[in-house]
Amino acid sequence: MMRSASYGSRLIGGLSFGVMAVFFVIPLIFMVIVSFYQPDPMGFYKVDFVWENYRKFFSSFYYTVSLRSLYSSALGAILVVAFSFPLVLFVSDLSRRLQLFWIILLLSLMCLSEVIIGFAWLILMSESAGIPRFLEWLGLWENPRSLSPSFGAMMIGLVFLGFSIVSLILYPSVSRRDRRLEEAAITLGTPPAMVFFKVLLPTFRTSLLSVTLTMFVYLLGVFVMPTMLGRPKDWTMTVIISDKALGDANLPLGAALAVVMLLVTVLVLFVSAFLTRRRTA
Amino acid sequence: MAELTITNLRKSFGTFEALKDISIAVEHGEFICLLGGSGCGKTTLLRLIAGLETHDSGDIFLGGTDLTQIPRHKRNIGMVFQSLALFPHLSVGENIAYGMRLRGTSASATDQDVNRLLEMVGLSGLAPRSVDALSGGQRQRVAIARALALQPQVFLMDEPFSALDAALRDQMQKEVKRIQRDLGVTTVFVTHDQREAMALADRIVVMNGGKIEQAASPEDLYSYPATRFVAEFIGINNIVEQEGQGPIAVRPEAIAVNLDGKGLQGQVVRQRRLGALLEREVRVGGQVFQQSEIAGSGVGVNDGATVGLTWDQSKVWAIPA
Repeated sequence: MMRSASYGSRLIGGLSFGVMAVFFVIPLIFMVIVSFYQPDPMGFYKVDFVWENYRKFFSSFYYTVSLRSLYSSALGAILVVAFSFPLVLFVSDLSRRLQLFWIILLLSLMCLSEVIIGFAWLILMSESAGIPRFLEWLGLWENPRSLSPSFGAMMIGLVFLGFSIVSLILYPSVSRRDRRLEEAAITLGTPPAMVFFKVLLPTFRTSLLSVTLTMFVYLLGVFVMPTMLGRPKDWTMTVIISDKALGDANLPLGAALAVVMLLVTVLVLFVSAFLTRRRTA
Repeated sequence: MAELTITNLRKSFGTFEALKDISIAVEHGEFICLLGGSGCGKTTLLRLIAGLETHDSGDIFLGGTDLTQIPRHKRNIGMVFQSLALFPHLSVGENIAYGMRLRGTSASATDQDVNRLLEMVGLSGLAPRSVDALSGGQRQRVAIARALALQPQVFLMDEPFSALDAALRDQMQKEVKRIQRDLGVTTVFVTHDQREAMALADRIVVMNGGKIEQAASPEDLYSYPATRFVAEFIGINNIVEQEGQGPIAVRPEAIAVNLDGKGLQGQVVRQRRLGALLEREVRVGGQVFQQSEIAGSGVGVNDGATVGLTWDQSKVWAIPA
């Protein structure tokens, strides 16, 4: 019995490993191979082994774009978590019924596609309707103009996109936290307004860091928000890659850029994992 | 004058009345146990003293000042929680020093105090440890040291030992009692375990349904229960209804068994020997009496035998109406 049980679990493990290999590792290997091919303006590529595509990355344009991508993803991830965590804390102290309402709201936000959210914000920030008009009506803005495309508009889009995901990731552990910890801090003289900084932030430090990293990686791959709400100079590497690979039909360059971004992401994750481990030790 | 005075305190959660008109005075240096089943209001009363809940009406005075007018983080109380609530991101020493650092006590004075407190609870040298690296009993000690670090005017404990095994609980009870005596700090301890209450308290406050049934020394509570609830709740008691008078409470050890046809006649249902003690259950009519004696001190009978039950009238307690 024992043998067959472990055989079964091995089979399931092997199966998921196989699926991973087929759908993730093989395309990855293919991408790495293609990144060394010669671009061919007539077709997609010519089989070869050249460093040319990687050399292009170190031209200032791609270099700047990738740094910008890292910057906007990191800023977006930090903002998402900075908004979500206090909200989740607030929601977790509401009555059961209101908590359920919030969760359903967040889940329905997740159901909306990136395109719909992007369009909604596009309308909200447009000159003819939405926020600029509203500000004019309030008398706060005399000569309103469209707020998008801009870096700020793109950030709003990114934050909105990640908000429900981060909130739903944080909710279970936040709602099940030991509230006696906060009460203990109060009986020991912590002013209630300081409890967030003295107790909640430090106790959730590890999960906040890991969810920020998750968000960072997620936002690096976001495609629609930058194209819809950002200016061309705000475009992230994802947009440039698809632009090169599909627009210019230069698949080898796109593949090389993707490989570099992947390496940079892995490096960033390793460094932050190393830093968090050192701090908790 | 009493250190902690609570008068006509009331608290409701929605339609549920958790505390119904509670009044009690705790003397300086006294060790009080709030004893009762779940939902009796004992923890609510403790949390009201700590300011972790707001009361509906009534007064709480601590050393002459109205506690209800003081913000909860400025009340001079130390509290040990059931879950202990040690800060997981801080070391043992930092946990204990938390309140002192917040008050701006100098680093050297804080270190000195932390070492003194660790010594008091028997954890010298463990200040740099992570709280996750401690055993259950050690964590209890850290929680106690942390709560006492600010030299509170009143020390509150909410079932701190309920998660410990019997032997460790016994040991922690002795330690808490010793520390409390040494410091002379007024203490309110919540428990549902009457053995624990008996072992610790100068005075036990028995609570039931949001009211105080009786507040008395462990001895008085056992010998002179004020209500039928207390008589049945504390230890084992035989409640005997008498015609024309109120019920009386007879402890098992006050009853003697005879084979001479004296007293109430009944059948022995069950007997069991627990070390030095012999316990019997004797059915008299519709009531089963609990009787106990030092093994070998009385007559030997078999199960099913008809015996007589008599008791010394001086050891019988008439439950006040």
